Amino acid sequence: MSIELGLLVNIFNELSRMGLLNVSHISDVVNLTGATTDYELQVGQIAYISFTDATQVPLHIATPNNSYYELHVIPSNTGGTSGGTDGNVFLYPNNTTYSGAFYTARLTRDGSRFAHDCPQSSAFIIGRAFSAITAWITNRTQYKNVRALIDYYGISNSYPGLRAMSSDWCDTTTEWTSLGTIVFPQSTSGEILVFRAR
Amino acid sequence: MMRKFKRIDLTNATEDYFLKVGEEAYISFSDATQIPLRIATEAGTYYQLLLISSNQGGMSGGSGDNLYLYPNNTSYTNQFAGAQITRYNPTTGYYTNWWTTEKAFWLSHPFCNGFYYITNGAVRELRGIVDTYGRPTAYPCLRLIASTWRNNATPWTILGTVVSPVPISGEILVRRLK
Repeated sequence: MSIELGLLVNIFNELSRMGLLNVSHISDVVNLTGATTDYELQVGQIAYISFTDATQVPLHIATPNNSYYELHVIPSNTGGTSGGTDGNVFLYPNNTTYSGAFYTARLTRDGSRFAHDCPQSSAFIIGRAFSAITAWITNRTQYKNVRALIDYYGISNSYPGLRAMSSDWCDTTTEWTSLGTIVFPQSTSGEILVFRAR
Repeated sequence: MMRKFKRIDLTNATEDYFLKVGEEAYISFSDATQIPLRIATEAGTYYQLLLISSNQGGMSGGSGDNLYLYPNNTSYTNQFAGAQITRYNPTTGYYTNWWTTEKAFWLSHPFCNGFYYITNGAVRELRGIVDTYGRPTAYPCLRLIASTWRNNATPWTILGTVVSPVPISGEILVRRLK
């Protein structure tokens, strides 16, 4: 007896819709903590990385052209207005820097003032000091961008420090093949989630 | 996140439910000033909250008073601070920003439609992007928000209650991401 694949898919989807078949937890999370080689996330998969007292966290995620991700950095350093270093959190694409190739438009409001700027840098800027970060990453060779909404702390006038930013890699030919390494301005602990949406 | 979540309808829940990673709480509300989420929480969790308003679009009916999330279903005088950057609609043509102490997590002003990310851990905070409407200065009104509980001593065990100064209607989705 043979059953058409389409019919099986319809039955599967209907059972899932009715709540009789829960597929929400099946193999969609890939633990990359301690990974030593890059893993290419598939659309719908989530990478999980735990880190402790690190200044550099390689994501070990291979990324193809025309992909799109949602990144969450969830710090576990204690909240406060001290203990951090007032510097940027970077994402080094391909685990390296490209001198002066990035610009980041930023809006900031903390306990002292509102500010807006657009600094040049050698990697994507995605945070400041200790930061809770949600970021959206576009990887097209002709357009490479990271947008982020962060709440930073660990330095004066923060806790909360609100910053929204859009960081462009102003290069239309270099291929972005490894999602990269997150570089913190001080030793940082926490967890990272990366969801591939496209 | 656009992953598939298992939906748990907490609209008429009478007890707190401990949401698991990959689950999505759904709460529908109508003309309410207090919306208990009925979600138990603990340190080390992380959520996405979508506030989907169904109040009619316009420049009236809302309020300039604050919309809050009361953690543990209560407020804590001056234990919170909120930062925001706002661009109002063309009739006012200006933007503003502030950083103030608060009694709970500050979500914006009603009516309010948007999303937030919520961290319950060594730092307790939320960040969001919302559209505020229902006021002469809004419709649309873009607002970026960060709000932090600046006290680490009190355990956060119940995600809390959304408290509005005027009745609001809509739906809330709470997705546990970690």
